[in-house]
Amino acid sequence: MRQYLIPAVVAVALSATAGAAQVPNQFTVGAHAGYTQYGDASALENEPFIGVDAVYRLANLGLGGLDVGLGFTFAAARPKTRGDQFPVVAFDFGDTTFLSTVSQRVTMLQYGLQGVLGHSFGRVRLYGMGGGGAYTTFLDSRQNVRSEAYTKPMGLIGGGLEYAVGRNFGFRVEARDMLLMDYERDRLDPTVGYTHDSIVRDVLPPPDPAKSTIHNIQASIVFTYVPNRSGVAEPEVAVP
Amino acid sequence: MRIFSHRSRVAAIGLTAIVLGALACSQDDISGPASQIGPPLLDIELQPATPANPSANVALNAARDTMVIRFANLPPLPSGTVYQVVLVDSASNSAVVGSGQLVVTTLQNRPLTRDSVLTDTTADTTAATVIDAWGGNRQVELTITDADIGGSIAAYSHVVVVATTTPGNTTIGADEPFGFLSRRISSGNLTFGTWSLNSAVRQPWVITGSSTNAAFWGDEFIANFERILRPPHGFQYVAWMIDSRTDIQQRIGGLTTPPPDRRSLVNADVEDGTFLTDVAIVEGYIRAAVESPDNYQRLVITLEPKGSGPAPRASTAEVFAANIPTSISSRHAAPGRLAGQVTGSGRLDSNTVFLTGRGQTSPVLVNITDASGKFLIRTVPVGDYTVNLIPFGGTTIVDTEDITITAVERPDGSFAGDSVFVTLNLP
Repeated sequence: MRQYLIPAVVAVALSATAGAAQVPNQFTVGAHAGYTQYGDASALENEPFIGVDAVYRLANLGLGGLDVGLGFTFAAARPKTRGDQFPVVAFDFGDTTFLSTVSQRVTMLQYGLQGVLGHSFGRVRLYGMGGGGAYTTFLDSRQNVRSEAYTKPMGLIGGGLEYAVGRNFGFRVEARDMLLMDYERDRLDPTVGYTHDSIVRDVLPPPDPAKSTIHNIQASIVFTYVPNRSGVAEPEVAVP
Repeated sequence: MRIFSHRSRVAAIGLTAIVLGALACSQDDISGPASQIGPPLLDIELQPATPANPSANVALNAARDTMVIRFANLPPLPSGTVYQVVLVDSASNSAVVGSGQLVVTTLQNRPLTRDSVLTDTTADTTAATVIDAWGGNRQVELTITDADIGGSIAAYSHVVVVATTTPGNTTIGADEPFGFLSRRISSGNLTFGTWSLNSAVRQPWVITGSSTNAAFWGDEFIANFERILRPPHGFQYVAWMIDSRTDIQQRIGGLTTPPPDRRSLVNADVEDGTFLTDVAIVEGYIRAAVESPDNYQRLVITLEPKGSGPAPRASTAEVFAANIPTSISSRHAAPGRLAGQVTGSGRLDSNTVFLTGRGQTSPVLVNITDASGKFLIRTVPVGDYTVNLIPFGGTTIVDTEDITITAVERPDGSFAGDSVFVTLNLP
């Protein structure tokens, strides 16, 4: 429940303050609240995520009204691993054995640099983005009886629509493909070899084929905010 | 109107972010959520059995023109499958069907009273090219002469017994398995195991390997096996449940390769493929539905002749066996009882009443009637039976009645068989 509560609270808290259109030579800060549909081969359950980004819009480059920005992105999620993708565990009590799938909740941070290319149509702006960075996965320390985290490269590509609500805040609807590269699904396996079930060897269907690059779809609502907006000329957006 | 200052809004955002971050980093109440899959596994420990394998003995006369083969423990045959004797000359690869006079002696237990049993013996003699008699209560004897085969027995090197769906076929591939009982033509016992023209392919069959684990899982039976010999030619490994109280049996299913392929190993006697070496099945697996396992006493893995369908009864060639575990058998309902009345014009007392499993012939429970023709069998396990009546001094069954002892729930929540009353008539 908390996983759903977090983005909702974020949305409420930020909706009163954030948002803005793109302004040259100035940062735009975005707060993401969204949902990740992880690729089947990731062995992760779909979960909400939260994040922030900050994009610095470069001066108008004269590209037919296109605006260009550069910045960073950060997101955090607490997905649970899919127990059906890992060996079934047998708990043996004398002549009775219980079979279970075992999951763990991991913390996944994704961060990197991104570039944005957009075009405004009045209050509405259409944009595309791409970038790269890394993702860090923190395993459940109690379940693995140790603190373990590892970092791998990540890519981002996507786009969305932005709507300027006021002089310094607005919101975006964004979808992006988060590519988890050099993915090691087996590291998410919380089970121990000697507990693996060896009786019902087809208790579950075979796991999804493993892949080294996982495509994950992230959809989010982004509340944008332009700090220190006063005094900046804004020829693109007519403010009431 | 501006309600909050810019600084206040930034502070609110920061505070919210800190709170949410702390919440997100907290761990679940129960670390490592585990989800149980299905009902618990109830383990059963299969051990190597003491098999009553099919066997045969050859008696060859001095002139080597007459051969008598006596069979024992021939396993039940599936529909369309028969046994056949083939005489083979391994040097020239010539073969002939060993036809001759077949004598099948059937031994049948018939209760005389509650405490004594008589064994009836019937013998059928036919001229035969195939053998379709089987069972532990049958003695089969085939006499083959030179005249029967239109040649000389002495011209052949081996006598081979096959289980086949194509009787009359005497074409033998050079390296192919052929037959499950064999011997050089001379007096003595035949060897149980695969025979072939190529002596390197011949493989006597013995119990090897093991059942690594087995269990009942809800309404399924699951078992794993390692390194068991390939079955003799014409046979397959099949699991059965057996109840000697009611003489009922339930065929569970045959061996497959392990998941995920689960390829049928019904042809493991002849085919090549994964999990098969020249001599052994490296790993085997059984996963099949079972019905009311608490109604049975034993679970056995048997060698069963192959055919177009299942064998009607379990083979006595048991490979692995185990009693049904107490965790299951304890669910079996307490026995019910059978009461009845024999009526008719004849003598009412001392008539023999006995139960057989439905469709079976072996007596499982016996009693005799009192002076008024009444009888009572106090402990009858839940199941389907036929009640048989043999009059005093008689030798044949004169009346039968099918009954079912059904489990009913008692006030304390346990189950017990109900009481059934039948009336049987003397002619």
